[in-house]
Amino acid sequence: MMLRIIDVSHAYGTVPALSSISFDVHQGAMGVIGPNGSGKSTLLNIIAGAMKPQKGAIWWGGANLTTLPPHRIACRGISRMSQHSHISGDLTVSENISLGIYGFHGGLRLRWPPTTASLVREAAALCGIDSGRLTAYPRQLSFFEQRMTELARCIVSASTQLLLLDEPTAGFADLEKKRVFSILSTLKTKMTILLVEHDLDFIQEVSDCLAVMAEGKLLSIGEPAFVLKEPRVLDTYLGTKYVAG
Amino acid sequence: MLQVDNLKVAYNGAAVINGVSLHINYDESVALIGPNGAGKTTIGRAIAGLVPYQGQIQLMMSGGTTSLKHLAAWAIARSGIVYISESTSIYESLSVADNLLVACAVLSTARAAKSVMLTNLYAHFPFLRDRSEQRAGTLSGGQKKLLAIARGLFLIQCLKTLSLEHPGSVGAPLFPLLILDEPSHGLSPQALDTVRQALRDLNVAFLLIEQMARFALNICRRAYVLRNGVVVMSDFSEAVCENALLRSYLGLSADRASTLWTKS
Repeated sequence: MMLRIIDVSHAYGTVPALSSISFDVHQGAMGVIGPNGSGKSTLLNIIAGAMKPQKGAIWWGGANLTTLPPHRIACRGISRMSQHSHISGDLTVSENISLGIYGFHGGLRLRWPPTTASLVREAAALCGIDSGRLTAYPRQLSFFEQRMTELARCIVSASTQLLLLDEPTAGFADLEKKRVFSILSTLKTKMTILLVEHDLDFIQEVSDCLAVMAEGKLLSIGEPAFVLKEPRVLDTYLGTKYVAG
Repeated sequence: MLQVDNLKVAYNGAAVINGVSLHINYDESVALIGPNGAGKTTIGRAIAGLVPYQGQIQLMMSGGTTSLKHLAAWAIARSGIVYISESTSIYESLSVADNLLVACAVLSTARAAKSVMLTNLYAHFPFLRDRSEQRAGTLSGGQKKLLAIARGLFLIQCLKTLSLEHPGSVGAPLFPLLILDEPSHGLSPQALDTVRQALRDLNVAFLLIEQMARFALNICRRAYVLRNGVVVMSDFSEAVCENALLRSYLGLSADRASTLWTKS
């Protein structure tokens, strides 16, 4: 299934965040980079339904997502992992992950399917969480395990088809980033991934396509290796000091 | 200038820092790197007076060396230790300019000097000047982070001026020190480069607590590597980079490590 972003605009008061942005997201992993404040998180918020754009439409599976409330968008197989940690400290890892199934099978009633335990185990394994950690509480986890618990919650439902990730490796050391790379490499064979990230080596390796945003507009889109050589991308995003390493 | 001796911190009885000693000279840039959970942030918070600890943390000030152990966090800040936390803590309802000014509102630095320093700061962070009247809550996550860093740098400049205006007065900060916790978290490469330039141009001594070892080793003169609450290596950044064992531990490949010294 393809995600179509069509002529989307949004402003916070008088401050424009997105200005007529349009592009398609195909199967695989699509990376989005851009300077701080270029509208990347706003775009993810609009796709996930947390915000409604002032103009434009987002099409997914024959539906205009901008007309749907967030829980209906989630029911259409769209999951989002935000920039900041949002797991419940009062629930175990397993319980936190199982919340991701709730939206699809329970609607507004708290009801989990009988396959919940196996779905949770499978999602945890995919995200590199040891089965012995499923009964632990977030305070007993490392930062990496906490973030991977969130990722597992996003993909636990078999219905997840589009995964929105906002800086999934922020705060990770290089070795942890390599583990996330391996996890996302597996996940992108099962679902479409749209990820915002600042680590260029990471996003270049994981993305099949790369979009560059600047001041709410699409600056460039295409193969990562090609896009990252464009002079306007180098100037706008990387600054003059960057030498690829 | 800052001396940490045998620092020990425990949370709910569980030891997090197990006897760390480190020092920072008045003109130095020092990195504190290591994996998540190693205790890096806890050391920064202990120096800033935000967590109780055992051991000694001493700061050289006018009138001699002072122990920071029994000082409140605000008094430590007044002594010249400026701590910029990992989380973005700004006043969302205030304008960008007011967020900067509030940092040194209680300092007796002359208004004219503050104005000059603000202009100087805006030269490094032009987007803050362009948005100086904008409500800070409307900034993006990364921009809020930059604002918090800029505010710390502004406070450092004000403290420096204060020590020049009142040389030798007891309790005046001799050499303000910035403790910067994970600036790379959420910042684009260009924004990170802006921070690096500002640190260098404003001649700030700093302790950089950082997960991104490549960035930290690139801009700091010396580095401490922390693991499980213990310093496992302390050396000049270049030597840390060249240590093969440590390189694999930090996840730095040999070719990447060799490019560190050409980046800047």
